[in-house]
Amino acid sequence: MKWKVPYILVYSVMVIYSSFISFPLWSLLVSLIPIMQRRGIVGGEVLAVFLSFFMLSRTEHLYIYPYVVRAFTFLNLFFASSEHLDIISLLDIGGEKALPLVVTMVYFPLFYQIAAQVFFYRRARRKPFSPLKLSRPILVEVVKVAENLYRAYTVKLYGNLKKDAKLTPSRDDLVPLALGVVALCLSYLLPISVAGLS
Amino acid sequence: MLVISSSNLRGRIELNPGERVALLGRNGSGKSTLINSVTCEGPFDFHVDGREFCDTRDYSLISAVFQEPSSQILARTLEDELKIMARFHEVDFELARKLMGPYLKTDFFRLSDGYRKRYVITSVLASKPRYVLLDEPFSNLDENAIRLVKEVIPQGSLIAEHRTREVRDMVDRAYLLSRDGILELSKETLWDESFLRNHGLRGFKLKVERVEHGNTLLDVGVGSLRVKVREGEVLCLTGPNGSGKTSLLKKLSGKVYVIFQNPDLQLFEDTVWGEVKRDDVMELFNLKELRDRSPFALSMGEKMRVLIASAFSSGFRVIGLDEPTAAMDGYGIQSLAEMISILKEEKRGIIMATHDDDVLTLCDSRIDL
Repeated sequence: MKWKVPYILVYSVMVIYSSFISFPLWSLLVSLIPIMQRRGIVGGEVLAVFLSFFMLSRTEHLYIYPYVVRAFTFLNLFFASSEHLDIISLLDIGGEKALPLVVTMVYFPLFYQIAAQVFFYRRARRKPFSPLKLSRPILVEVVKVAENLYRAYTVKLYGNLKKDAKLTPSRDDLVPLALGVVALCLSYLLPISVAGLS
Repeated sequence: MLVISSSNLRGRIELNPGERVALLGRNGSGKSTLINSVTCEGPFDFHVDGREFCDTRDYSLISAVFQEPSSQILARTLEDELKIMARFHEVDFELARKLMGPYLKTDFFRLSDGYRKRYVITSVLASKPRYVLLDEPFSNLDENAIRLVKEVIPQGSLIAEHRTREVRDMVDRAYLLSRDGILELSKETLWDESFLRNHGLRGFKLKVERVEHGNTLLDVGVGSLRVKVREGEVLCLTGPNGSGKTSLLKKLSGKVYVIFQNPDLQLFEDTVWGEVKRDDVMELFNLKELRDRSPFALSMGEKMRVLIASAFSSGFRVIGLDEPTAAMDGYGIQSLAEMISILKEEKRGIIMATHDDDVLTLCDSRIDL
């Protein structure tokens, strides 16, 4: 399911807005819906949300909790964009200027994989933790990816990008709009309050 | 006809639309540089039917598939990628459907290695270029994945490849690229083991000296498998891509010093000395001349040498190697065999995960996964 840029933006704005109306549980839950198939992330997040609650309540810092939940909501919006964004519509709007964003969206799993591998290899080689040393292989790999990607764009797109916007909403585009409205409605109609926090 | 030449080199490559031609050469001989020059920013010139390609940069005439599939995708699925490309030129969706079958809409990062290569080749072929340049299309693929890739390589292809055994059956002619120039080879030359060995190419049988195995260094159970390695023994983990060779080595990490695929991600220091940290080991592995060089600037074979030397200097008695021959030339393979010989003499045990026919002769025992 692919969503065009304007509709994913409207969805994000509505979810973010709803997260400030009351305690951001509804916005968190709605933001989880588009990424349900990434079970590892969803499971890990739910666990982290519960753990944060218990840790913050133990340390009497519960006033931070809405910010934690809001942060997870924003993270989910990024994941949803990465998963569902119709990158063609991004190129339609931004042309060449949108390329860095497109690259981030498409290459997020690769960069994540590279970082995870480097951290694993550091442990396997029993190297002490050093941000400088860890950044070396990641930097080398990112430069290699950027060079390869430049060549691929040149060859596959014949070396140019043009603007030819087609932004009429499709049936898929209605999903983020509906989800955004649901987040807003729930936050207004059933505001949640946790230990006096909102 | 496509003609590729360089003012710095003698000879030229000629490719007709109806033939497949191999491009062989050692690591660093310029095979990738030649293919990357298709962006008109390299030292090689391309002429199609007598016309300078870079005057028009018409990529419907020449296109290219680069070495690493995961850094040349424009979208997460081939269907999305073709939709993007269709904004800029004509794309044959039918051809793509035929070549990718049910995987047209599958996320790239969920595809097998063979289908990842097939994805990037198909995305280029969907533009119907007259000539295609392919950089190591079979690198690090197993037999089944190679078959998947071979099926889609069209006529009019120049295939730069280390794995001579895999490419020699499917090409009409071959060229050897070296610092001396470009030399045309007959197809028969690709079966001449002494020629391949002497020119640093792959496809020859390794000479292996067997040594007596000593005491048991490792004897562990991993799931239903028992992994046992003795002094001077090379235990090979074989099996197709995705059969669990790397996962098994990851589970053994800690008991065994493992060198995984992609050396670049395992180098952390700014000099070779920083990685190895022992003069006697630098001497043993012939690294003294590279002492102050950045390990990232070395050839693939040299990087592997640095990593194996650092494994040796770590003091671990058993060393794991995960597909050590990926993207290695013939000299690299010979050098790997020498290093394994040193490890065996020093009474170390080796676990090597591989599906590369060129090095299977190094194995003393095997676990098929």
